[in-house]
Amino acid sequence: MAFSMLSVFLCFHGFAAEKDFYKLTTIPFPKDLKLEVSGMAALPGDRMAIAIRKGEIWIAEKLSTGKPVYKPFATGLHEPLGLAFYQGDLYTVQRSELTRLRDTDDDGRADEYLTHAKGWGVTGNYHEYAYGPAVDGAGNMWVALNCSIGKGPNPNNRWRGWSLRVKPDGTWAPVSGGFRSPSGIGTNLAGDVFATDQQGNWYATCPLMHVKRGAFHGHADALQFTKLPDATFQVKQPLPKNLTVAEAARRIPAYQLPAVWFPYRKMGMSTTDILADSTKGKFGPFAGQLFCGEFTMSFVSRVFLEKVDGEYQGACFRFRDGLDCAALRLQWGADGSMYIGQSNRGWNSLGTKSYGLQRLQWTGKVPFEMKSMSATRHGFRLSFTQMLDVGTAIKPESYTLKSYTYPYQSKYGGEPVDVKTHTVKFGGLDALGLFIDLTVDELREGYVYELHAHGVRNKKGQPLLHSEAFYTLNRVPK
Amino acid sequence: MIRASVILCLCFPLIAAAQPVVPGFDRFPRDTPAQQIAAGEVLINELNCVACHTVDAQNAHRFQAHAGPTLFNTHNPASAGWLRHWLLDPQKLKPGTTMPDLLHGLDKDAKNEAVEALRHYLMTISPATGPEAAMIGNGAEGKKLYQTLGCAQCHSPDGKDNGRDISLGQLSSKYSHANLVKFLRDPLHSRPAGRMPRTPMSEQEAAHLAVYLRGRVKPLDLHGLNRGPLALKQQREGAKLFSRLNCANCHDTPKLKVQRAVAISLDDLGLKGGCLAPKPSARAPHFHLSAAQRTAITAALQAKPKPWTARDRAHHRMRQLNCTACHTREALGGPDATRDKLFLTTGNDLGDEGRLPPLLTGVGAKLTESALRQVLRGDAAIRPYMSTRMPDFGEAHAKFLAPQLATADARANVKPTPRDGNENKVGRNRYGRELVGTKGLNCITCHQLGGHKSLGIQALDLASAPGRLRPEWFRDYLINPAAFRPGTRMPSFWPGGKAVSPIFGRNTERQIDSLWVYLNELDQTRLPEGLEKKGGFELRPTDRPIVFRTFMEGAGTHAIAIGFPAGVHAAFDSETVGWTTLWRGKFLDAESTWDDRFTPLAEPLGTNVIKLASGPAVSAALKDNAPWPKDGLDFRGYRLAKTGSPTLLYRHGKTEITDTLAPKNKGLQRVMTFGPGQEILWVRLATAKEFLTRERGVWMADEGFTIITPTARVRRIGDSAELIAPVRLRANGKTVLEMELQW
Repeated sequence: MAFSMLSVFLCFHGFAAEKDFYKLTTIPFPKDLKLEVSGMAALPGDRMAIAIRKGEIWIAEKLSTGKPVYKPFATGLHEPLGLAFYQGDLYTVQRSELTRLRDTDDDGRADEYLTHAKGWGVTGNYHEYAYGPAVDGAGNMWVALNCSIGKGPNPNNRWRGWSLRVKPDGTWAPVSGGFRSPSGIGTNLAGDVFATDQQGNWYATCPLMHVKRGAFHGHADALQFTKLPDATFQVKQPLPKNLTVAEAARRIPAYQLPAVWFPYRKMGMSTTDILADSTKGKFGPFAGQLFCGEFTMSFVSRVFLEKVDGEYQGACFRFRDGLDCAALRLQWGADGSMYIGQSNRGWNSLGTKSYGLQRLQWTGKVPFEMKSMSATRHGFRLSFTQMLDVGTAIKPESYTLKSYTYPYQSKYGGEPVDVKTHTVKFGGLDALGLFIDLTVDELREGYVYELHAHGVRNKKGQPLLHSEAFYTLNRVPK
Repeated sequence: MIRASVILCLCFPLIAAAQPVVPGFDRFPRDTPAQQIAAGEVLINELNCVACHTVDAQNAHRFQAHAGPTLFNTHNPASAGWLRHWLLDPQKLKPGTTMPDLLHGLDKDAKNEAVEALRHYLMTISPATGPEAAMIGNGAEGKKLYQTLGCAQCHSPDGKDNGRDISLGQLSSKYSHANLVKFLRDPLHSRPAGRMPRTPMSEQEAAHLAVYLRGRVKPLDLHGLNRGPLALKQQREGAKLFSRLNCANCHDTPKLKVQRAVAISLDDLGLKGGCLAPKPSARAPHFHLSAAQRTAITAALQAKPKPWTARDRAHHRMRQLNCTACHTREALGGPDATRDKLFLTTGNDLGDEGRLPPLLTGVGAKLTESALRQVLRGDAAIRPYMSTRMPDFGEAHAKFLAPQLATADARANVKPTPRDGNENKVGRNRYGRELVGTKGLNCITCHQLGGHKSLGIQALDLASAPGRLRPEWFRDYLINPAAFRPGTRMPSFWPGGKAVSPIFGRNTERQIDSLWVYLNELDQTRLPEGLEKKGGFELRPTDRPIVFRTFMEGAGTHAIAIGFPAGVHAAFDSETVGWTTLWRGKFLDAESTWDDRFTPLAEPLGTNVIKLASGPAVSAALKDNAPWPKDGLDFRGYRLAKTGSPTLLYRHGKTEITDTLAPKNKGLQRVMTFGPGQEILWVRLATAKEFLTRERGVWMADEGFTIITPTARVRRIGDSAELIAPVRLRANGKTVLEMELQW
């Protein structure tokens, strides 16, 4: 019977489960509060500001007790899809502006709703979501704008599908363009800005992109605004057809490959928020790495980034499954637990709820994981969270590796193309058994390398908690 | 492979050398002997060789005749002028036609004579027609329909006959507008073989198409018919020719009973002569076969006949009907990539699944046989957002293909779905309802259900499932959607067979079966949670004013609506920076802002709606006839008083302006303050056709709307009036402007 096989399968996974290392709890909230979380900002004093999609901001107090008290802070906002706390005030991006919210009389409610920046196009088309702000080290605020799908009643249509940088004085300029629906924008610990986007037209699968001046990220609808005076790049049109993204990177000078591709379904179907691990170890062994939310499949993934040749690239890994609902926003609590804000309105997700808030806490046990996968001249270096069993780690049969790239096309989505299976050889091991170098027969720039380290064991003979890693090899180190 | 060959074809000159166009041949590879044979088999059938030649029993499954266009009936009465051009040179009039030239052996005069005789005769077997009324159409609409309904997947995308795609021919001389409308609405009536299927369309759509199709090419020179004794003679000659040329072997003739004449058996044919000669003898029909076509036909004729499996039979028939012009099926290929852009959708957000006709790989295991038959008859379309329409190929093909596909695609060792659990006891499956609803798997976020709109994107109506799908397929698809529809965005709620929802003890089989039962009983049961009547989105200012940002009719995409507990409300456009709307009674319904993915503009919910003006509230001094500026103010946000009452903040140059409304005397009082400056600014209070005044400072607009400001005056621009008031700024200190708005 299939059922008995299923239970064997469950048992097999049973001895090392994600929940043993990261505990997930659902945070309660009042019944009449529709907590469709669309933005979160940590406030001093064990408090979290939470924006919800119907345009309100609530302050959750005594957060770390697990049973916070919610107090209203602001109302009447137009679908705020991000929240930041900067120099004492909250900032949120509404459909049509970046708003600074101030509580000047300290009664716990905002009394000034100040327009910090506005002027991007809002035609009224439903798809024109606006995300942010992400705040960089210099106090600039970054906003990411969806492309329109169709037209709206207002003819003003500027900078849709672009990122904007707002200076502290409120003046702003476009930075990069080519987004479809960049529902996550955030910074790494170095203060560089990244955005995620959604699989669809021009994106065969979801990307994580470095938001950098002059970058064209790929969605061609954004190109109509390269005619405007402040455009930061130009692209020769019409775009060449029947390209892979690897070819597009060579043929279209402004086109910048994503730092990481999230292969469809394997690494999610709709990547959302970006949260850098700034907990310095309070959240486990991944300090400095990025966590990303996943909407449709309701999980959190993990990203390791490195710079090769001055450009970011890296690998993604599954991290924690089984959320109640779509992960739309991620934020740290004061005690180093991760809060996962959820809402799946308009688009379905796995799980049992339509919105809510969950908390993810490190149990203190270190899972056996690939901590990082980085590129070397001849292959990849894997680092691990626990000491390796040398016998299994150096065996080529412990690994399978394939590479593929994606079509660059206006068509919706796209399957991996030019798939090749590679042979892997042992290339070296460090004395502690925490790193291993693998030599790969062929390294193709612009390709994703999908590694399954299914045979690798730690000293206790246990397999990896997640044995798959996906490295986006835009550049091979020289 | 197929795509590659199609693309290669496009590199050739615009009009390829005339040869019969048969998509089941042209669009498929012929790289191996087996592929050559299959291509030849398709050609032999599509050229209707067996209409004249006989086949013996061992080949009967491979070669079959089909009926050519009927001569004639009321849907395709003969056109005498058109017939002349047609019979003289079918390939010239319609490049790529499978109609052979039967008179190619005659010299010019003799051919002319034969053609005249034939058409005089043919007119006698055509029903008499007179002028008929038909709906008027629009050619531009017709062109859009032609490109999107699916016509252009077999015919050329630009409607120009090119010798590569199935030609449309000279339709304005062949059909009257009314006849073409009739033909388009039911091509099977006069072309029963189903190669031109019936695309479901309204009479209006057919009329648009007819105008477009008839207008594409210049009309022909039409020669009239003779009368009197000469005509009678030609008719008699024509009748003899009609019989001698064996026209009725291919064409049904409702007015005649003609014995079919039989030519030499296919199995005994010499493979070099007759129709297959590069230049056929005078007695053989001339199909203008290309060398590649002759090679394929020869290969098929020489091949040792093998019995066919259901898969062979289905695929052969699908090539004949050109199914892969629109659908992809593994092993058969898919649509021409260059026509991909013609597959369109009206469904926002549905991606390729909303636009591309469904994958046919494994379709026989997906749909029940009766659903397959219905689909092949062009019935039961369930994807209203898809612009391309599934046509009706006629009962014979439906009856043939449905069981063949079912057998061909049958999956081995499929576990049956449970049929004896609790979920199957009679009555309203509550687990299924729970799973479909918002507290369960929330299927209704994306999928419509029984005609009810979904909560998010508007994907396929789930109520269609029970009537169409096989329950085993439904189960296996839900467990792993991507295995059945590569690229689908449907997630698996049972990844690896493991249920994510705790409902029903996390039992995958039971959950899916209860969904199935619920969908089967949908019309007798309650709608799921989330679809049962919504509501409760009305915003009611009770103790404090409500300040609400939204997209709003009149106030635009940067609207700020303000509702006061006193029942007077206003909207401000923060993009152009000015008040646009006043109203009374109910304030606003937030459903379009909070719950509708497609964000329609909100409208005032109450009554007595006054439209004030559009454009900035404040301007620098203007010349007499200069229009009010379109911009010039910089919106800075708003401040809330302790009472929740908002003060809007904006700037003109360096002058800070505040603008506050508060209920007063059944209306609103507006107070504006201006920061220091040197100049005079003007405030525009409202625009109207005209403003009347009876006492100083009291202005009535034509809608029963009164504005009270002592300093206001009227400025006429074109045929409307603007009520404006000057504000002389002070070098130090504030200036205040107050007014009352009553309506």
